[in-house]
Amino acid sequence: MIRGLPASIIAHAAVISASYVTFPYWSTNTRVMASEFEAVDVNFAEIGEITNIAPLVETEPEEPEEEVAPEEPEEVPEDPVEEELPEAEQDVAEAESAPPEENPEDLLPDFEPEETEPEPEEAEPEPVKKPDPAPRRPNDDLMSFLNQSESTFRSEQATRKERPEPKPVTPEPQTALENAPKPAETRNRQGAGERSANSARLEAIIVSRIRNECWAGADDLPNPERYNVQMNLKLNEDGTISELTLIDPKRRPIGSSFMGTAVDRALRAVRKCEPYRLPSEDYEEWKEIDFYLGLGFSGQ
Amino acid sequence: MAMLKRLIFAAFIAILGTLPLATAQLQVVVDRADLKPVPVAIPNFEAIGVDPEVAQTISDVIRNDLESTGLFVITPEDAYIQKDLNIEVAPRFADWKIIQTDALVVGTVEQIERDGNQLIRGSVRMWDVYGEELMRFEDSNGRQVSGRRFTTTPEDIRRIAHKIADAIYSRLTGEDGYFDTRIVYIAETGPRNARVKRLAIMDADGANVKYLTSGAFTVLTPRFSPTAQQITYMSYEGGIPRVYLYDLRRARQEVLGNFRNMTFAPRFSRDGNSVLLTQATNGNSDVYLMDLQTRQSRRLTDHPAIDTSPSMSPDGRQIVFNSDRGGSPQLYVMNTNGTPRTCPSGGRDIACRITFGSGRYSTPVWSPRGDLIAFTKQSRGRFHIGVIGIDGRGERLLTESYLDEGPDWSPNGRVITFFREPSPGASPTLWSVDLTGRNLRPLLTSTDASDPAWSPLLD
Repeated sequence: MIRGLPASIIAHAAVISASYVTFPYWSTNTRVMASEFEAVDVNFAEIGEITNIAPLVETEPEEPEEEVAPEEPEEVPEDPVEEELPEAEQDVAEAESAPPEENPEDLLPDFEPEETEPEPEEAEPEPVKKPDPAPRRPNDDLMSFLNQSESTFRSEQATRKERPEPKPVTPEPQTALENAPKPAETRNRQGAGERSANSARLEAIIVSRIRNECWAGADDLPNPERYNVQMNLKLNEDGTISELTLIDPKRRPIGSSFMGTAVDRALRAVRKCEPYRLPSEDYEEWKEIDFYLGLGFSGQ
Repeated sequence: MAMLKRLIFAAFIAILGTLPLATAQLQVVVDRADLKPVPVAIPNFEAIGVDPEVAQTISDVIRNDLESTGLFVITPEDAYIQKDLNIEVAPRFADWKIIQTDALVVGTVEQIERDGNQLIRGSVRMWDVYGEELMRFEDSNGRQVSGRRFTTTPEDIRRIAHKIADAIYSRLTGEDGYFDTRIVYIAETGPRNARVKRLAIMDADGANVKYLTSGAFTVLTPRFSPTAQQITYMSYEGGIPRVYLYDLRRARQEVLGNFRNMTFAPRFSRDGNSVLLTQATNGNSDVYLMDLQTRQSRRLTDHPAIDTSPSMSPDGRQIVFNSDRGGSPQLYVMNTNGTPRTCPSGGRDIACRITFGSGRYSTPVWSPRGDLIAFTKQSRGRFHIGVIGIDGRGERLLTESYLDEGPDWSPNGRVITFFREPSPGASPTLWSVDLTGRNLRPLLTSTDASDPAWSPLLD
């Protein structure tokens, strides 16, 4: 009992310090939330105008002789007269019908453009690793690891305290662009706080475009909060896409499904917004973007 | 000391698991966007050995089907840059990106001969313009295919178009289409004091109207079987209102059951094997379930109040019905087997009330998706079509007019059809509205019309 007390105190202290360390992650939000936008009510009458719904196909004029007594079998076709192709022909030449000039295997999950190559910078660090001069005892590794972790966490905490809150998303992309820092201002920018504020500005520009121009959302799907898509986008300096990778889900579900539709829409949105016209002096900040599209990301 | 370090290490690892991924790159979160119709280009299908009018008709029907949903906007033909499309060749994607088309549909219509019969064959492929790749379809066997092809007789070319439209719709929305379906309704003619009401059926887009009854007897509330070409409805034939069953394939009707009293408000169960209906005895109405094979019926409600308009959940375990047992017509949910259940409002009961808003609720219909119930609501002199969760939460009114009544779901649970009288004495007409309340639009019929009911997808 007496021996257990110090252990209990230590355990509690560990949990409390853990919370102290991790709460900033939870409370500090460096992402720009689209939910900060006011939802725009869509009047169904306006939608009707927008979609320019054409009048229905004219019904055939009522003809008295068409009136059919209940007994007449020809009132409704006895069998479905429409005939689907036999299985072998159902696929419009699955092998040979694929466009001869492109992609004989047009699998949707393959989202990587042909020119995509692994970044050499990321591959390099491995060879740089130096062999340990001498074998270390596990405890030494542990202490070193813990010391490094403590140092990292303290540094990160200090940074986060200085980091300003993201600014509200500007609704119009043009306005956001106008408000983007001028080259002269950004050139001398320094410090993590300012960098974060700039990131928020960049994010606001992108969010606004995706939301207003490129993404159809998923609100029309049943339980839309279930259909969330995470992607990683690598951009060239001219704002064109060099690589688009589906992160979660890792690939589009095969066939017709709500998740498949959500993935299609998300990928299409990111591609449709290309090129991303962002301040070139901030290229280092926007050359790689993690996209989170979906109602399930609300509040994150 | 070593123990302490292990403890700290374990705590550290546990904490790491809770942290978001440390990423250096920009993070962009977009949780919602305004729903936008998807731009789709559907150039006229290429006519191969057939009258170009046939290809034109099929193309027009496909475009009309898709545009009628409000979910798509068809790219106008005069905006096309590329004209030389070929179903076997990838399009020039840049030409279609310029005009901001998300999906490009390319098809052919040809005449073929099979077993000495001249048939029409429609083929289609669809391209993801921004993804620059073919969009694969799922065929009727669940296989992934690069295109769809349907063959039929020259008289039924519209069904080719509906099938293709369904395939496109399904690929772009993730749910089944509903274009290759029919709607049965009551066609009304004549003066209001001598109204002739006949059972009529038409394609979902209003074409191919046919009449199933002569009009000698008034018929009401037709309902389509979700699994077969059968209709159940109420008819005054013989003087007493009774529920009838109409088999479309055999063109035969029969009285359903051997009830001694008036029966009405029929509706099929989701498996099509039984029919829910109401029987009125000495002024008291209760809900019954009749097995269509054995023709045995079972009483589901037993209450002195009026219980009517039953509708079954897709899994068959629950029904929703309308009852005035609480003083005014409201919606109640109960287990089909009659066992008590825990009510959303608290307590346990055989039937749980799920509507508590002001006004009177009636004609509930369980969605094929299972998560919503459509209903008619009368409040402050106006009528509404609305939906509500099966637990009574999330009531949404989708329409409002002088008289909106009789909702029924499309087979995919996406659209609700109903009938409307916009003002006192005005002609009733059929309407449809999307589940979200968007895209309210009339369904044109050649006569006044009421009580629409949707068929399942045709075979």
